[in-house]
Amino acid sequence: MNTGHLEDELLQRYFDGELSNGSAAEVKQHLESCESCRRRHRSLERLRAFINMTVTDAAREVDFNALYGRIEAGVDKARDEKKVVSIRTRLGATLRRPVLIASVALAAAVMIIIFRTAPSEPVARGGAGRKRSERTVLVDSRSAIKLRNSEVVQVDFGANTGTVFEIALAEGVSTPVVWINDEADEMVGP
Amino acid sequence: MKRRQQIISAFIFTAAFLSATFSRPEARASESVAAEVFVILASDRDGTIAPALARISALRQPPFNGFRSMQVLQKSEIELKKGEPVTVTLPNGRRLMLKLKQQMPDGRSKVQLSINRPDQKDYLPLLEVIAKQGEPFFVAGQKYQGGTLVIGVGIGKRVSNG
Repeated sequence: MNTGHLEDELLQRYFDGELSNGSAAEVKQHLESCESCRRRHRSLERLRAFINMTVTDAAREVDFNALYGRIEAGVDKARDEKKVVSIRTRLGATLRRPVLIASVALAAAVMIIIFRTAPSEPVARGGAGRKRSERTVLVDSRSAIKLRNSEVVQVDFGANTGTVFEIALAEGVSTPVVWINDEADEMVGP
Repeated sequence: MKRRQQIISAFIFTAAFLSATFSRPEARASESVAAEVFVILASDRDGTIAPALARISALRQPPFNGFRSMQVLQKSEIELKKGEPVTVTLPNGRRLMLKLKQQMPDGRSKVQLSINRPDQKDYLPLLEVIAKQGEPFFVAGQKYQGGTLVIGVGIGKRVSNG
């Protein structure tokens, strides 16, 4: 049925650059005058933009050096297995001594108590205070490096369909978007 | 006799160690987290982008930067307590339920979200996200008043103005 709007296939072919010059010019002219078709065309552009973005991000996320590193580490681990077994045996024998366990536990408890009572707020400059402040900043920056991006663990779109993708915000920083393919403009009553 | 004393000493010190470790206040303090839910109406119609959204960098990226106008319809600041769901009614009448499931050791929060009609599970029954503090994630796509609803959920820190 001709509704006065561009058919999906024609619009898609125009979008893909598959039309002849004459047909493309006609479609372009129609788009200039028809808001509805222009909106559909923009939707195609948006779709292509975030598909491109997702593919690029996926390729960027693969750290090939780290991958090879893990493989080499795995080979080394297998090679060192015998050594590890003998170390474990010695450690097991050591841990069976109650006095040693007690000493280690006491030392660890004392260390924890010392660190718990240290001020967590940066201290005023000067003297011993400055050292504490620097230590605090160092710990903070380390934990900041450990922080990872948000990630979608699971999603159930129910009767709908949808897409999960990520938006890259900066180097190594991204945030997820869950996009529900919703066709109906629906107002739900209470 | 000496052997028994050694065992008792080991037990006492181990108990002291475990007590010192697990009674840390920070281990108990992370049972709740602040959150912010903002609902944006994004549209292809000519218009403006609400200034309050300017600092949310994700909205300047595709696919969001393809919209010509964005207005904040609703903003809710809530507190999520572990295991206790909080409900926010959306402009279209659906209800967004948000629940803190777990605080991760790396500082992120595992949250559960759903969007449904009242008392039903028919729209987005389940979404589980491990959210980084201060960086909102988005649930978008619901059609509303000729535009698209974009819901931003920020965990832990205030992410938008106004």
